[in-house]
Amino acid sequence: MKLLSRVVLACLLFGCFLVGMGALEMFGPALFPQPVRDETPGALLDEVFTKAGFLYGPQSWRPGYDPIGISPGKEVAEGDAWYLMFIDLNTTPVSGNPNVKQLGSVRIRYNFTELSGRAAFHVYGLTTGTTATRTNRQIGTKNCGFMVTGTAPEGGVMPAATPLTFPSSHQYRITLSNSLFSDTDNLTAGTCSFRFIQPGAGQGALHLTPNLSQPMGGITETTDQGGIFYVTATGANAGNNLILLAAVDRPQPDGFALRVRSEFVRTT
Amino acid sequence: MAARTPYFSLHEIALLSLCGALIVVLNTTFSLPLKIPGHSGIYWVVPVIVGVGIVKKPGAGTYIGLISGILATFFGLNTLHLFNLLIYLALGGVVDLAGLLFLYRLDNPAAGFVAGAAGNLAKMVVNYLLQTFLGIPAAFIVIGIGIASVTHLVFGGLGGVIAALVLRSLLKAGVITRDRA
Repeated sequence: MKLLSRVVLACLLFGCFLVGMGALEMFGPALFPQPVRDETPGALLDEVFTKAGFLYGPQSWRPGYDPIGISPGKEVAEGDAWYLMFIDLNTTPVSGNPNVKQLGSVRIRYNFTELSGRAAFHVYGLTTGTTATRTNRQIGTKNCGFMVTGTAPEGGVMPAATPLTFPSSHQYRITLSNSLFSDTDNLTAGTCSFRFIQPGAGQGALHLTPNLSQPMGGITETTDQGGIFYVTATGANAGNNLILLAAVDRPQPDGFALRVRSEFVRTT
Repeated sequence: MAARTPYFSLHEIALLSLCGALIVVLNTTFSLPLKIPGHSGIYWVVPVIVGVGIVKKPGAGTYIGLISGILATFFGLNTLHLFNLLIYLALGGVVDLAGLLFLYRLDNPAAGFVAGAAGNLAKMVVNYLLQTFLGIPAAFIVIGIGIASVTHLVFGGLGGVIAALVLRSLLKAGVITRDRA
């Protein structure tokens, strides 16, 4: 068989392969229905957190390669005493090439009850391998954050909170506040790991925005005790799960509650 | 008693090992911001095809795949770790088959295109199979698989053409000959 005939034969095989893959893409959604991740249609997380959910603090910083400030757009302020709660949102924004991925953002609905002082939201994207944990940029261009201010009177102590230790390895083991002690046999809470490789690594991949038409967001300050904001992603790797950091700047009253609902919103 | 002749000579082993190492070096050094699946095939099929095209023995590509798979595993190029071996072995094995199909005339750009495209597609298929094996729902894997197949074919094929041109230049320069390495 001549070389040209062999090339033609190989091209025919490629053609068959591509037709097969094209058919798989066309009929794949019918053949392999997407698994349902949550019993509640739409919401991937719907949970109410009380002041007992603030497991970390009082402290002036949030996790990063170096400590990052908590008040949106501000550096670490030594006098601040924030209390931190980490919430697994059970979803993540998807960014990248719209021809090969279904891109989307995460919509977060929040409702505060008896919020005292300021509450700041930040996000972390969990990654695998050697990739740094993602987070929203705190300082500089394209920084973002979301802050809510409440008028309830200040509460007493925050019973569950202890300050987070800054690790020299820049790797954090974080206890999540979702369904604390859901493993009733062993009384263990869910945990996750943040891993930062170098200064600034991972910042700027995730963004908080009240409006999807401005995906980079910026800093939002509001007094609305209930509302919506979105977590968007840019870059190739937004992480494989999203952790919401909710921080309050003072002890909260006993009636404090924060309801968080997360949903994945397709943008392509 | 006559000494047993090894299947690969010492300089063939050295050449194939260097080609295997070159794949890992290229993968580590080059990072094209194309965001297109399979685009790395444009450079990582080149050492395999050049190695197979020079040595011209069955198993040369598989040997290159084994070396690059071991190195990729040790250097942790991605999250697949030990499974990298399977990906690189598939790539090398398929280029071996392409070499046999074209009687090691891989200096022909058409043959190079087929070899490169087949190698890059083999890598893609094994990658998807591993993801399925590791528990990623098929619903997510099939999203965009048709377009990914086309891009893998095109970039792998282009890498194969580059390799063919390299082999042709080496032939013209007299560094290698058509019948023997």
